[in-house]
Amino acid sequence: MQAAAMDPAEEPPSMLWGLDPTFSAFARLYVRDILQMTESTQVPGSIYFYNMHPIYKVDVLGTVVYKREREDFFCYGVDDGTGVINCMCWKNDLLKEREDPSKTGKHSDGAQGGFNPVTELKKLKEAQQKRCRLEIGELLRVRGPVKTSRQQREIMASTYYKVDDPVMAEQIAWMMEAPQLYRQCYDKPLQLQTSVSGDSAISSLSKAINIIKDFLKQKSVTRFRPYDVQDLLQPLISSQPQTASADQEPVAGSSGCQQLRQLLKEALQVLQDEGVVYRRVKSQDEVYLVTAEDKDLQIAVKDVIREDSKREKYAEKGCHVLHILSAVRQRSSLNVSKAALELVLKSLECNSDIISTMENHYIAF
Amino acid sequence: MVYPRRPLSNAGAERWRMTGHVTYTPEVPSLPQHFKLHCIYFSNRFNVTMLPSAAVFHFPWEVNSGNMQEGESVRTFGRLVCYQPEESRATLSAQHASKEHHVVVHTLFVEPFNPIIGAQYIVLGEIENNMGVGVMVQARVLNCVDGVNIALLQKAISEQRSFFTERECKRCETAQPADAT
Repeated sequence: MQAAAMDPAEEPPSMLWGLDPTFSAFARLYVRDILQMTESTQVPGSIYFYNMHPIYKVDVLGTVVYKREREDFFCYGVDDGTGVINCMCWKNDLLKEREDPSKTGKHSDGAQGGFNPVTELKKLKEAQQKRCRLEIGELLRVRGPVKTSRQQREIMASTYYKVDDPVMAEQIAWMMEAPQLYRQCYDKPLQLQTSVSGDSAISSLSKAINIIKDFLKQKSVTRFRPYDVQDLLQPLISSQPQTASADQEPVAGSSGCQQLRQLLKEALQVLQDEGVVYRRVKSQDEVYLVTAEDKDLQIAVKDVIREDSKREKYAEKGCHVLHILSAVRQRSSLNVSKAALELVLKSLECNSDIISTMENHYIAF
Repeated sequence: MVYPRRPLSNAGAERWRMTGHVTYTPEVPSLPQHFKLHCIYFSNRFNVTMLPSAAVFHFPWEVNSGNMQEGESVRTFGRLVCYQPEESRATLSAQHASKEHHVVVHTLFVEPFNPIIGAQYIVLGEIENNMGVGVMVQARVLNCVDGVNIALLQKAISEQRSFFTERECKRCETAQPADAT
């Protein structure tokens, strides 16, 4: 086993290991790789590294070429064609050869029906034996953590069972799948460091949205204009690293402003699409109303639903969202958007003011 | 499908009584001295296991070619064409490039097994150069796998090999720039 210990400088810190999806999975490595992977210096004996991926548990399918049985466990040597590794397979109670004479005596008072616990237990024991007791040449599937004991690497089997593979379908499928897994997961370099290289365009937008949402909630804002919230987003723009450092001074001012306005515009658009805010009147003056704080809207919607629920047409089935929308727009001349209305309906339903009869249908409570 | 009877643990170990720290080589004359499975047993106190080496998949025509090292562990396949129980010898055959390739298998350690002439078998064992016969495989495992998709198996073996060579090349490439400055 030419396995070496990991270089402490290169090893990623243990805090970040959980970020690697393969760490939590039973890694399907070739036995050759399991035997050769480098041992961690932070947790020696339990954690290993393959291509910078932290590994502690593995999944192997191979032929039994060595067997040792003791009272408590089996030790199978498993060969998958690339290497041979020992697997420590603990027996459960059913497998241990304990003939209990007292049990066999009681069987006569068993249930009269088809179910005889003693014979069932015997069958279970036989099934367990068939699954766990293997001979040389049989196919074994083992999953478990890798441990180094007495300079030898072993798999402590958490799960093991005999695989019935009369036409080698399982083995062939395994062999075909392994290179794919390697290319997609294990041989791909691991990026454990979170990118410190500044915000990407997407994340600054979501940050802007969250900032505005928090502001609206905290101050219980009912209505606002864009310039009211513009300054909130200033820190996002200034924290972005400028690309052209040479001509930063004269250009920074205008491009910074433009970036800010652009970001604001995008954020407000997203908030509108979500229904958090809406514009009653489409005019030059951009006034945004916050849906959650708009009492008029809530009252209007409630009235519409209550009145229409009395009509026979809607009594049973309920009013469809679009019907409510057109009614609210007509009667209260509130140019509310569908997304905003849906938010209102949700909050009314949470308050038990209305009931949803079907998908998208509501009636008054 | 009838599975051949499994040999008892560690093929024939029952025949070899072992005590303490002594290494036993069986006194069967046909076995070569280097035969890996003379299973060096240590006493229970040490519990050190001597595992056989990994049996890598090879094609029957590669096994026969004479390019394989004596004592190397291999895994190969073929159709059982004949079996001579008195000499413990079975012959597996495979078709490749419109030629029949034969692999002779010494079945001493996997007997008794139920020979199904014409059925596909997988053999796992060590290469041995026998004076009279030529290349022989000393079988540790002989499984009947009749019904196996041979073409798919060959594809899987080739796929695995090309993956390993590809990986080796990549590793050489990443190692080289460090040297070539």
